[in-house]
Amino acid sequence: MAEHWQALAAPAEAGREKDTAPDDFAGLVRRHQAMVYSIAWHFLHDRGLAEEVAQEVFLRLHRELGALESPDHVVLWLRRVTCHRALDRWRRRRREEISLEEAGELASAPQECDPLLEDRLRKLVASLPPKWRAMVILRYQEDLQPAEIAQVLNIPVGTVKSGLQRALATLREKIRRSMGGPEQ
Amino acid sequence: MNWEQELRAALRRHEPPAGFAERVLERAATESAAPVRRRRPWLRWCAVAASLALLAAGGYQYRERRLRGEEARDQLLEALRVTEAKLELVRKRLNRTSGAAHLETRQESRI
Amino acid sequence: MKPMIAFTVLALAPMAAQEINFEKLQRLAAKAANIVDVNLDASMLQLGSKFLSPKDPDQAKVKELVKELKGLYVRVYEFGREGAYADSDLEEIRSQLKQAAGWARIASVREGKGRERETVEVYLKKEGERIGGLTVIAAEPSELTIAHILGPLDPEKLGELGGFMGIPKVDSKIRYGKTVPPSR
Repeated sequence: MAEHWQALAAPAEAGREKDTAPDDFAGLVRRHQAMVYSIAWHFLHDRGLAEEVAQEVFLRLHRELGALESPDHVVLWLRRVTCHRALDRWRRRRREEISLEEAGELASAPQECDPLLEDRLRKLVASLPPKWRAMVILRYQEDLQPAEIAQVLNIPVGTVKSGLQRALATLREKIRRSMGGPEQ
Repeated sequence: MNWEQELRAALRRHEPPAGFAERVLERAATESAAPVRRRRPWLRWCAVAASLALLAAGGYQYRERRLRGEEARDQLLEALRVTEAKLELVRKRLNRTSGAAHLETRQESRI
Repeated sequence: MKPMIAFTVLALAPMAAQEINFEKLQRLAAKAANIVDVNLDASMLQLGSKFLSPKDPDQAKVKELVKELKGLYVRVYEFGREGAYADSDLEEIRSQLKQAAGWARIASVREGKGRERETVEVYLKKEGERIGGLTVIAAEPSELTIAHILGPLDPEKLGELGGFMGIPKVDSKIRYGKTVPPSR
């Protein structure tokens, strides 16, 4: 059992998960909390809901950890479950008719680029159709390749490629319009 | 503007609010500490049967209808987007008749 | 299996209303790398429009536009190479429109030569003084698009959709058919 936990807590992705974490559930939470929380936040555009989703995801991980076989499997599982949970939560929230505009304002994190543009981009990403939104978040937050996104979302690679292409075209055009760019 | 860099920057990871891990661990510990109830198989089957009855009574249909509706809405938006993109192509080319584009106009009432 | 956009789930909806039979294009599906396949009859359009958000101005306009539509059918075939389809494939569609009552080609633009040639044809269905349908056939070297909309179309409302989902406004010349009128 100890070996199992040790393996799970080993660095999952070079370059992304640099912290040394203790070999237990607490270590997994600390290692992956930014990933899980950020997927939920970018999906829902609401910090409170994002934390709720992230907590639910980790609690489920706690219950199902024994069934996960490797660190890679844990990361894949976390991404997949977070996307699904965030989607469920988004649908529930929409039923409760809380619009995006009514959701809480983003607390500003340290910014290196144009903060207005970044904020606008995040809002636009959160307004994409849910399938495209998940693809864009996994591509640009998690830096996954289309094949990896397809694995997480359990859809064909071609669907991911087309979806990303169309999502980016939509984002590009919307940001151009919102910034008052010239009509093409 | 490097488009992909902007998007990457906007979607970079953020740490959750302070104390997040502690809150998760606390909840996990509470779940673990909850007494394990003695299983009563018949009770569980009753619960399953009741749930199935409820599902059959409409919950399932409602969910299905919602999913179908959301799929239909996504298709509708995609279809209109594609149509508009092609109409836009025509508009651009009509506006460029002085360029290389070749325009045919049809005056007949039938093709 | 070729990756494709899995829009076909709802394709089982009755297609009696459509005036183009896409069956003949099935052989192209086998060659395509990505496919968009949308089949929405009146009932599915109404169901889908119920899930459009009235708070989103774009979606509110779409809701108004599709209120009386009888069908919306779109095929996009993206091929991995040029020359994957022949003009005779399109002729099938054109001849169906020729035989259907009320359809007239109002515009046909062509650019490039040989394999580089791109054409877009716009057809309108006249029902008295009203527009009863719109079909767009766009043939690009490695992509074929056919959009077929049935039902009363209000040019004003179609125009208002300009910019929807990131697409710039539809020009009034096309909307009203003034440049290339569907003369009788």
